[in-house]
Amino acid sequence: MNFLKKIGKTFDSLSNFTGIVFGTIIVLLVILTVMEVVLRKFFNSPTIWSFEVLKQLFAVYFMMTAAYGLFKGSHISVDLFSRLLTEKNRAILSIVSYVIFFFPFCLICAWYGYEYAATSWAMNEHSWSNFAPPLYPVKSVVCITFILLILQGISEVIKNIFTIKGLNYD
Amino acid sequence: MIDVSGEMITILMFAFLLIGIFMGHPLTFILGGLAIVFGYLSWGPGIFPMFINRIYGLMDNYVLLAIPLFIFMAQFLDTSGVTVQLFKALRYLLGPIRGGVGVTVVIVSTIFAACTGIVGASIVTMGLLALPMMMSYGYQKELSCGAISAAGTLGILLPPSIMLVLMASEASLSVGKLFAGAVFPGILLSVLYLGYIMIRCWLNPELGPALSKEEKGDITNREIFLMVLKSLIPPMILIVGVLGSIFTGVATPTEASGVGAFMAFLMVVGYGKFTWASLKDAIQKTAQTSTMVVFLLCGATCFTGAFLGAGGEEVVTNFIVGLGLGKWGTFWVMMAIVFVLGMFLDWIGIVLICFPIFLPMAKVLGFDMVWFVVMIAVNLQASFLTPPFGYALFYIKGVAPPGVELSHVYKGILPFVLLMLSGLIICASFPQLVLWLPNQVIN
Repeated sequence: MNFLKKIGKTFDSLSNFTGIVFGTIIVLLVILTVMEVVLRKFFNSPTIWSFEVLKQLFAVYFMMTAAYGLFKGSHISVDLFSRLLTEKNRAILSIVSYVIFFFPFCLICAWYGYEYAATSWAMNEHSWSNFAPPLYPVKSVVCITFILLILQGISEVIKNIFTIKGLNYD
Repeated sequence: MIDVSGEMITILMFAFLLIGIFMGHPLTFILGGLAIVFGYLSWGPGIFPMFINRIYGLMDNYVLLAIPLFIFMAQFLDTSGVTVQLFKALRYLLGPIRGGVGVTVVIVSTIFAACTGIVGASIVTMGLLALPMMMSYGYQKELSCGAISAAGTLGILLPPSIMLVLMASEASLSVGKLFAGAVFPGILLSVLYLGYIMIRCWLNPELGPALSKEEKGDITNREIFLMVLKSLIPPMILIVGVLGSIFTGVATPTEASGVGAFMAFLMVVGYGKFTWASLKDAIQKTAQTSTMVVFLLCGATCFTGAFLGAGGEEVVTNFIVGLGLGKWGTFWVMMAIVFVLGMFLDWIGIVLICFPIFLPMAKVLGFDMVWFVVMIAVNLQASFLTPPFGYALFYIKGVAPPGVELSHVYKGILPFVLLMLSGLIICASFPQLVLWLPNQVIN
């Protein structure tokens, strides 16, 4: 069990770390939008790059913090009925949910997300605009996000196993 | 793959969705998981790349970028403590009338609803602040809980609201027009709530007694007036600045959200509440809320993709058209469906599932799209308030002092849901209420 705990804790801290690192992108988003407005309104010189940079930062921002959200329990769920169960039964139900909903979704998206990114890398895909930033890095985010989610999902299942066995995880 | 009819798939998808929700799993993964299973059943693995395309569509979306920025703005407002200040000031001002604290709750919630656009934040704040106070003054529990939940829910309707941003993105409408369209319906609901509280308390002072003169202590009217000004003007500048720049076409909604977040940050500094710890806290909470909202779209967009792929759209359209109720009958059936779904799903799921089906129907029926979407937005207020799954009810129960039971909350919310439905009927009868402002707005 110690081994499982170690895995779980490792994935927890990985999610926490990515969340804190990529969560700070919001500051960049604010600075860039304000900067663009100021440059356009007061200096009449809008940039050609801010629109696409903002979009890509936004994509990285909400995708790469998804596993962090799972770790922090912030994804919306309705615990009205599961709350009525005993702690052990709730943990069993949670593992069942992970197996039938969570892992199929994340595995498929990670795999097809990988193919999606691989195609983009292979054709050296760039955007059609004047600025023409590369698109393959941001397209790789889908696959990475779902891999991070799978890891955090494994940690959540491990936590439930600890609950079922009546062991202390923390 | 397997020869299952569209009807069967539609019914099964919603049945399993309900089961999944009952299991208490995060909604986005239930939606995603069902999309994988039912997508595979009706199309085979050929549907999977489409899911990735749909997810990338969300990532490549400039309009949705406004959502985290508005959430960030709301976090700063929360940090600034201006809600607490305004509540205190208005309570002195309005306390001496019957139901005055209830009125204060609705006014403060309406103003901050306009600022934050997040339901949880304003209900939790008001629940912690106002509910213990209302109970100690002898306000009825039901009325207090109902007022806080209903008024807090206005946050999702009054612009700038993240729900309207999402709706605009899904319906390919202008965010500015939707914001403009929701202004008067939001104010209408707020006024209905205010009127209801004042009339009920005036008829029966037991529900919400007036505060005694001693309660005020030795604070002068001048001091109260200054308190109101100090806590009202900065948020008003923020709302007018954000909405004004959108309505006049000076900035895109996304830019306005970024500037709004920056202004809210300046407010935090101005009120002397800035610390590095609070900034770090705001950043982390914003990350958690943003990924919750936007990543829920990932699951929902796959679900919708699988649902449309299985022909679910036709099933529902045929069903509704088959009722043969004419233009307005069909409209109210659609509204009823949104209302009923609101009992089980949250607004993001409803928007993602209903829009692809209802909007083409509404267009064929000849409804104005801005008006139709705003009507759904008004209606979705109920999705927070109707049991069994009304998030507002859980938020308020979560922060309520001991002695407040869920049954008090359920009873208290009922009149407000009825008021919300009256608001919906008023907006349907007088479409100009919705449409006048958007027509004044520069596109």
